[in-house]
Amino acid sequence: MATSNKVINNQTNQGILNGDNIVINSKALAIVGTDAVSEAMRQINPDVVAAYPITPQTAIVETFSQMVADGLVKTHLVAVESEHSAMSATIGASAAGSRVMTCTSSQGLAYMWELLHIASGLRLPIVMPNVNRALSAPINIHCDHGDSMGARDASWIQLFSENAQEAYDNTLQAVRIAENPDVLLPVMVLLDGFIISHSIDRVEIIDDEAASNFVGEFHSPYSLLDPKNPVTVGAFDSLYGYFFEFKRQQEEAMSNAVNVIKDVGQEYGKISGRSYGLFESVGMEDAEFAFVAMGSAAGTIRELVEEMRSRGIPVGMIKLRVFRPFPAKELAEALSGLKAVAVFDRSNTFAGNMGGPVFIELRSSLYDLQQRPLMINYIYGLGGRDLPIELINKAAGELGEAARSGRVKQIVNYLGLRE
Amino acid sequence: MSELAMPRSWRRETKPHKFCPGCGHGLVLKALGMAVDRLEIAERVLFGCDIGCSLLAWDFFNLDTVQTHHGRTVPFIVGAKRARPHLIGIAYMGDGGGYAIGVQHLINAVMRNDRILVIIVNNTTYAMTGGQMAPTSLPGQKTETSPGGREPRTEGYPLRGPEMVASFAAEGAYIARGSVSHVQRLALFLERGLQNQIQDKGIAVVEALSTCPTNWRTNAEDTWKYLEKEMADYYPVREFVSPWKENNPRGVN
Ligand SMILES: Cc1ncc(C[n+]2csc(CCOP(=O)(O)OP(=O)(O)O)c2C)c(N)n1
Ligand code: SF4
Ligand SMILES: [Mg+2]
Repeated sequence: MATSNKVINNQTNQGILNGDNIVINSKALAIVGTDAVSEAMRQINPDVVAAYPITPQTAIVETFSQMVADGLVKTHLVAVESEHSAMSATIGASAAGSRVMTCTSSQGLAYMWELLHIASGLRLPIVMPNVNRALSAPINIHCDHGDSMGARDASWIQLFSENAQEAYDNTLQAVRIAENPDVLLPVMVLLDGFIISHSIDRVEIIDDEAASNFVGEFHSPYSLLDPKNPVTVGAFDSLYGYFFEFKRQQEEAMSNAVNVIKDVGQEYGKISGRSYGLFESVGMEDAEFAFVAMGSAAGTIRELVEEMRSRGIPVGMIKLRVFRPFPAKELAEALSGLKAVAVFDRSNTFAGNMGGPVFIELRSSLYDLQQRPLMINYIYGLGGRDLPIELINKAAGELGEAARSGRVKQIVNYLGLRE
Repeated sequence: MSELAMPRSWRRETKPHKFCPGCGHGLVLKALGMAVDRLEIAERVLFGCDIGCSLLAWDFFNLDTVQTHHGRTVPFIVGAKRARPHLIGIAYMGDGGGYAIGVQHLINAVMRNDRILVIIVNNTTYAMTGGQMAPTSLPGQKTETSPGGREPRTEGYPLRGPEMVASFAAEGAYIARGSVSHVQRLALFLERGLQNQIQDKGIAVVEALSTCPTNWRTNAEDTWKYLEKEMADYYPVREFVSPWKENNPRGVN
């Protein structure tokens, strides 16, 4: 692996660093997305990791197993017999007061489903990278977002990544977000299967010490095994108990997460030169119409947006990073005044042609605007179907046409489908 | 046609098959094809493949075949068998599917004595996902998740599946372990297992010791040595529970 030390000063990071000269020590590696996540895990150095292999997540655990064997971390690694057990063991270890992680994909995430709700209901700050892969049947190992969308109502924070760098950055930040006392919710870090997980990318790994200081030490507020403060976790709650109140508090925590995610994203900028918000805006200042997308597709769409901009076309893009909590207010602000918006969804809701989940939620978010943009939905890339720039170009044509004519021909569209 | 040629129940159009060179899966399926041919039950068989390298067998036979999901082939076949008792249900899975993620199904099916045949291909690893430690990995075995070798102190000893379920199997159950190093004997065990179902005696569980040169990273010679020496030492090849009389090798009382 080629490594180099790089110094970034306020010249390259004016907005973030506020005039301070900050020296950032990092090394640039050429690594695949799964190794980028393993690197973050090494720096986080969790107390316990319990995992079960599944393509395309497997390489994360394999690399991490080597790190454990080489003594680079002090983690107890448990090779459990299934994802159901992986999440159960993770919950147990987290409830016992330690910092824990696991990771999975697709069927593995689906198999964890009942535990996902237990992790969030118990307010355990577990961090879990999920390498997005389509759900069976028919069996398919390639990327779509159907797996994590199945967990969108599980009260987990969800951070999407555009590339390996963001997968690394998101994993480090996830720990801080999850463990914030105003949040205490589990966080899922999403990266696109194969497209990100198995492609070699340039990834800047920040200095171990800086990473470790950023992540900090974990002090569980309600740890088990504290003899002075015995607690019962997850006890039976009868009809007139506090279940409803618990669920309301989870919603509160999710709302609190909005500001925490922004703060952590800014703070991370100071040690890495890369600050993060809820979403990234490209050319939105004077855009008349725009794309909204998540994950690796944003990279391809950005290409086209920049090319169209160079031809003077008033197009923009919003790359949604945070899907949970859904930044409804902020997105509505960013999109108000636009003529038309095309939402790209890498999964479907099967709600009867209502469109994909991002589309449905964004549409609902814009309802209260005085002047709502027209909205088109593009469902693409299911089961790893490619999204070449020509297809985005086709969508761009339809979007521009809608903006001009004030009319949407077809609300829900399938890009790249063989019909 | 001699029995050593391609079994009739094999689907010729899909040969050569998709397993790696030197893989044991093809030999287990050869033994199964022989057993199905001898009993002339092809029309009645429902062959279920688990996720794992077993999935490469989805078009292997001229048999009704279903692709299930990882670890769940046993309950799938149990359900199909209850709905259509005339079916001959076969659950074909790896040691990961059978002894890790789906072990509860194996245990409960044996307890209920469901009239199905479960074949578990023991290659001491999760092969399809690239060779991680399985419940069957031998002490000291290096895998992708046990780079220093399986350490019994923290990772325990390998699971002997047939021995485990034989300890509580009901009357009529047939439980055995064969090996791809003795295809004829494996075929005989599978035939007896199928007879168990045809004659409504009880469940059949047949483990097959198998090879995975790709993930073991072994040449032909070392592959075979590992199978016949290390594996067979730890995993005795024999019948554990059988309703069939010793002197009746074809399994017909
Ligand atoms: C719920 C779930 N978890 C994990 C996987 C990933 N996975 C696919 S095959 C496999 C292991 C296969 O090992 P084994 O059953 O021993 O079969 P082999 O490939 O060795 O024949 C795993 C873990 C999956 N498909 N579904
Ligand atoms: S990986 Fe191993 S088990 Fe799978 S087909 Fe190849 S040799 Fe056979
Ligand atoms: Mg196996």
